Amino acid sequence: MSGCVALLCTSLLVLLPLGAGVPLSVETMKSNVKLMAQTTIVRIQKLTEEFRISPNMVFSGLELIPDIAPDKAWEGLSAIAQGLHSFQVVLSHLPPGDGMAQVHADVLSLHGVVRSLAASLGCPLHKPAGDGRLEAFLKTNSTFHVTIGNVALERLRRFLGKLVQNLDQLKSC
Amino acid sequence: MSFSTMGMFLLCLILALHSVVGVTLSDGRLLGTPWAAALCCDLAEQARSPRCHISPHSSSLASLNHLPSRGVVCLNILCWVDGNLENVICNLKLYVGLSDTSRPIAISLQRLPSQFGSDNVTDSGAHSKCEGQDVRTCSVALHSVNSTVSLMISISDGSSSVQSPVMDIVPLSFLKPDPPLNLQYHMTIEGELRLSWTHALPSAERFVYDIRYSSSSLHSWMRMSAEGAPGASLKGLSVGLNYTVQVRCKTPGNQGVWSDWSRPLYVYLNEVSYIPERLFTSTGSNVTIYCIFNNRSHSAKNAVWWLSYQKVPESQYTIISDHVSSVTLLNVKPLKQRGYDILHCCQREGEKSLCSFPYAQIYVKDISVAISCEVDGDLTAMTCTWNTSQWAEVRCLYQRHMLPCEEEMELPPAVECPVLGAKSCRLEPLFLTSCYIMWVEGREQEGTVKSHPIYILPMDLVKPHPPFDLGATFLPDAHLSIWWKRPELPVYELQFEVRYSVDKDDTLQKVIRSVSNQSAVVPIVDPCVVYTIQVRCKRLAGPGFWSDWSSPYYTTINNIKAPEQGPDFWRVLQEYPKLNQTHVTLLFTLSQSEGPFCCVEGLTVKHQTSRGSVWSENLGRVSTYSFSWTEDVHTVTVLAHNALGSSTKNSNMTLTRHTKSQSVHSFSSMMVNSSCVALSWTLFPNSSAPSSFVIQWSGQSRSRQQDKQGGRVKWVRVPPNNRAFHLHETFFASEEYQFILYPIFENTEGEPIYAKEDRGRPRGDHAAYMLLLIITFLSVVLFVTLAVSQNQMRKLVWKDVPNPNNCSWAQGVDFRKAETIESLFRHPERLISCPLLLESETISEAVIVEKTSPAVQNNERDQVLGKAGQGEMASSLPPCGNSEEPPVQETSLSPGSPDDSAQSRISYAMVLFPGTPGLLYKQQESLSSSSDEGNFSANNSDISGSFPGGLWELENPPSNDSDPRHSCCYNSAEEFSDTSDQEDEVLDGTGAGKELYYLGMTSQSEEEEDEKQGEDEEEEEEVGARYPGEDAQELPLESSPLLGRWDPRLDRTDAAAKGPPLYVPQFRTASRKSQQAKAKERSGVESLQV
Repeated sequence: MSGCVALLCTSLLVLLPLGAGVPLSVETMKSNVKLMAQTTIVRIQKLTEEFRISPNMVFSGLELIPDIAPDKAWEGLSAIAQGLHSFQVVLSHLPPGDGMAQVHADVLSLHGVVRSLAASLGCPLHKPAGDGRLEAFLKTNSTFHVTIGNVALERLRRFLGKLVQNLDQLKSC
Repeated sequence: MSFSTMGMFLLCLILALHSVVGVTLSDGRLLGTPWAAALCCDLAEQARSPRCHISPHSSSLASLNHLPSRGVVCLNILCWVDGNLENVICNLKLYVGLSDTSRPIAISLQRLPSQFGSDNVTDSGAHSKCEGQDVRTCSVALHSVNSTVSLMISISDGSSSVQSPVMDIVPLSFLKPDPPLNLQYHMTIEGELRLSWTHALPSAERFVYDIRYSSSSLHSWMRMSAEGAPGASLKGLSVGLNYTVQVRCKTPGNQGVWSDWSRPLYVYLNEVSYIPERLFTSTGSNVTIYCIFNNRSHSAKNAVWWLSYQKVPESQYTIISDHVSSVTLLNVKPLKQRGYDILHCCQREGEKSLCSFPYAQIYVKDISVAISCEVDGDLTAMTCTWNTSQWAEVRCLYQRHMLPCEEEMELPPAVECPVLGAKSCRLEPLFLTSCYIMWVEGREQEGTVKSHPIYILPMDLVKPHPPFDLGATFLPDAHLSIWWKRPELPVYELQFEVRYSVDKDDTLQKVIRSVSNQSAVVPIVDPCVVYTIQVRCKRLAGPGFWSDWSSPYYTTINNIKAPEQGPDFWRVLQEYPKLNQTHVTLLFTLSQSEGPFCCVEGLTVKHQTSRGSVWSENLGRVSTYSFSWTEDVHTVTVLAHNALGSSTKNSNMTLTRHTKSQSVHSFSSMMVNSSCVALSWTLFPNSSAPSSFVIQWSGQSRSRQQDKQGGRVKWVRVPPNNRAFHLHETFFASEEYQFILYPIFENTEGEPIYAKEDRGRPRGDHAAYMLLLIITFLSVVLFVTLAVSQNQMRKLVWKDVPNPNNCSWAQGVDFRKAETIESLFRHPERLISCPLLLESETISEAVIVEKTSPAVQNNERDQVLGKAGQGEMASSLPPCGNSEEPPVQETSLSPGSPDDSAQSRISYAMVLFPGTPGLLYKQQESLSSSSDEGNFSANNSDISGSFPGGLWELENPPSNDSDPRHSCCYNSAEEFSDTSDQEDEVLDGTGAGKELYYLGMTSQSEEEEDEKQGEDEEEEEEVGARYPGEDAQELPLESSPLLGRWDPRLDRTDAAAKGPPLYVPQFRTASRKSQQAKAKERSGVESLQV
């Protein structure tokens, strides 16, 4: 009898870490997402310190750059991944100087982690589609990279801030 | 045959019927324009004539449904003169019947020779074979533009050939211009989109233009025409659409051929356009920029301008038209980071501004760029670097003038400095004494940004090569002599800097400035270590750069003799009982070298055991050495050695497990401060004299006292005749130190004795706390006693009151009458409202005792020293380096400033009425001790009191707003501190005495001491009070309305002698003792007699 109990306990002890393995991996990835997002937020704040857009300026013509509404709920991890992809497209068309290249690298990293997270949660992920209109727009208006860059960074900062806030509650794909 | 002939004529007939423009056939007649005609020739009927027929308008041929009959070749001809008026070019489209498709047909164009009027100038004509398949192209050169040119087309199929009729043309009539070039657009201040273009060749010819534009939403071309100057305005374009625009041209009138369409121009109209889109200006200038709202729903009245996201004041706006606004920017300054400002023109919507993302850019042409130049040590090249990175293309330009920079200069053209890397350039050869004016230019599309120039003289920017051939030697007087060689160039005088450090220890690096000499003597601490030396140089007089540091030079140690003295050492034992062995660690004191040429390079430890084993070990310059001690007796000898030999005067140590003799009677330690510990010891009278003492100590963290190995062991050897020692070392408060004294004899060591450091403070603190506790306890006991036996107390008090009849001032006064008492204490004018004390009132006595902690502490220290050294240590010990003894306990010994006295040293007393149910008793926090049978409050200037109401006021202190003259309440110390100044002035009217003097209280113990005094003193008790001032000579006069002015400079004894023995309320202030006298009486008593 005692031998059975010991065997049962041993089995439970062996199985416990196996059962806890998957959530731990997800938590680690979520932690990495937060870490990267917060790091990028700090970078953006430093980057736009000197030329911060006045809150009284509302820009038009930049609808192709993702802009998340504060009161709008997240659609899911796939939407987040798509948003990050759009941001990295925008950043890749901006002059790399003054730290923009590092922010671009951060967004690329974050995009990778979010995709991994989505994959580990079993979310269907589509290959990021090339945004032809966005790229054409960026090429056409490369002259105005200052405002496009500032607006994109500000929207990216809001996007990441909301991502950090809502990542734990995010359950849908 | 007849059939084919009929077919050809039928064809010609159809062509004729379809003709729109009449074309004159040849036979010397001119062709009309455009020259588009159809030519059909019959190759088969050779006999017929004419064999070719020509008809105008090629389109008729193209639309022909019937192909030519066998043997007939038809050509659709389109000819024109190129834009240069140099060639006639014809495109000939070939039509043959189905049976003739395989026939090889050759076509050629021929310009016939012509004769020009009276000049008789003739040319040889020109001939061109037409190349191609269905459409054949041929071109013949024109000889003259203005004269008529005769052309003829020949057709051959190999077996037969035929020639067309001669066709005469005027070249200008057939001109087909080249299409317009450089088609572009810009916005005008009027808000129009203006197209402009150019032509390949400047021509006086005026053209008409055909303009077409389209967008994805239009699906078809929109056309418009223009004439005259190359340009047109496009109107009606929509915002946010991509337009394609093309233009073609032709000569005016019906003549001429339309050019091809120009290259397309793509137009995208943003919501806002700026004029100009990029502006290059100078620092400090004012610039005006226009914005056009292409979205016609936006109005210029609502325009808001933002410069680099900062709003521009509206006073700088101007409304040009309904949709055009302008802004004038004042005093433009360059931006450091980006290099240009961006300007947005937005639409106001409430507090927000709706902006389109495009912007105008404002560049400042004259920017500040830091350029630094440096001439190499060979004086052959100058390298300049700059730090700007905001421009895609940057180049460094310079102008050179042979005169120095200060002179008036007529500058030559600018030359580019050869680029060396991204942000530097290099100039060579150099003109050392020429003035170079250098600046940096950045190009940004339409403009160039130029930095402020710098003026440099290469000779002032030389960075010499570092000195070389360093050498050094030790001098006998602890100095190091260093020498070096200077570079030959530059030839001017140089100054040098020497830095040296112990090898591999850069933290101890020292730098010595040497003026112009190529040698230096520097002090050193240890001549027996290797030093690293480096030297650098710089121009002595005048500007220049420091050279790099030279290659390091390492000193060498040269010994000329072996060391004489071996090192002193001590041991630390660590017992391992299980292994039955002891671990011995020797601690060496590496003595200072015996000179620069006698250095210790290592140590040798010789072992000898009781079993006769002898061995030795060679060590380097180490500070510790460990070995195991297993024998009963183990002797070690330590020798110092260098390359020349070993020391001869060596110390040895014998380790024995035998019982050691006890020779030290007592050993004590006391920490004087954090860097000094006083140690003292005594020997037994009959003990043998040791050869020396060793004091060993180690510190242990108080938090881990269990760890006995935690502290690092240190030691010092003390001469044999010392009985006390001041140990100078850094002692940490967080550690606890243990000291061990070892008497060392010739061959062995005595029994050690231990002592822990005594910091003095904790014991002193405990004593002070105990004293405070006792005083508090006694106070409580006294308070209870007084509260219980009021009557006895009153009796006790009145018994001690002296008989006033014995006083001189009371002679003849009858104190039995109440009127007498009243008249005696009545204030002349103002204190009437407050009744005086009556004889039935109780007058209490209050004395303050102030115990001072330092005295206690001093006593404790004396006890410690006396315990150890039996009183002799205090006198025999030399003072520590820092002889100032830190205060063990912070205690205020003097009232300090008057403010301090008034605020923190307040004590008070109050008058008790008979029958008072209980004592009202308040005490300040700063009161060190109190014991009173009743509290008595007094001000030296106010004795008035409303005693009937006094009790109520004691319980309910009046507010500060109440008049102190009528409150007559002085039981509250706070009240006194707040209002006493006013009271002094109001009551006295003199304002002479502003200081506050409060009555003290005495403890019961002091009362007992007072009781021991003689009867005379009982009758003449002193009135004690404290003065806030420091100097008794400057103490203010007391202004007591009762006693009159009393000179506080009188000493206490005098005051007591002269003071009348009153048994009625009277307030006196005793003179404060001088600081010296007070120091002796810190624990004394201040008493007050009322």
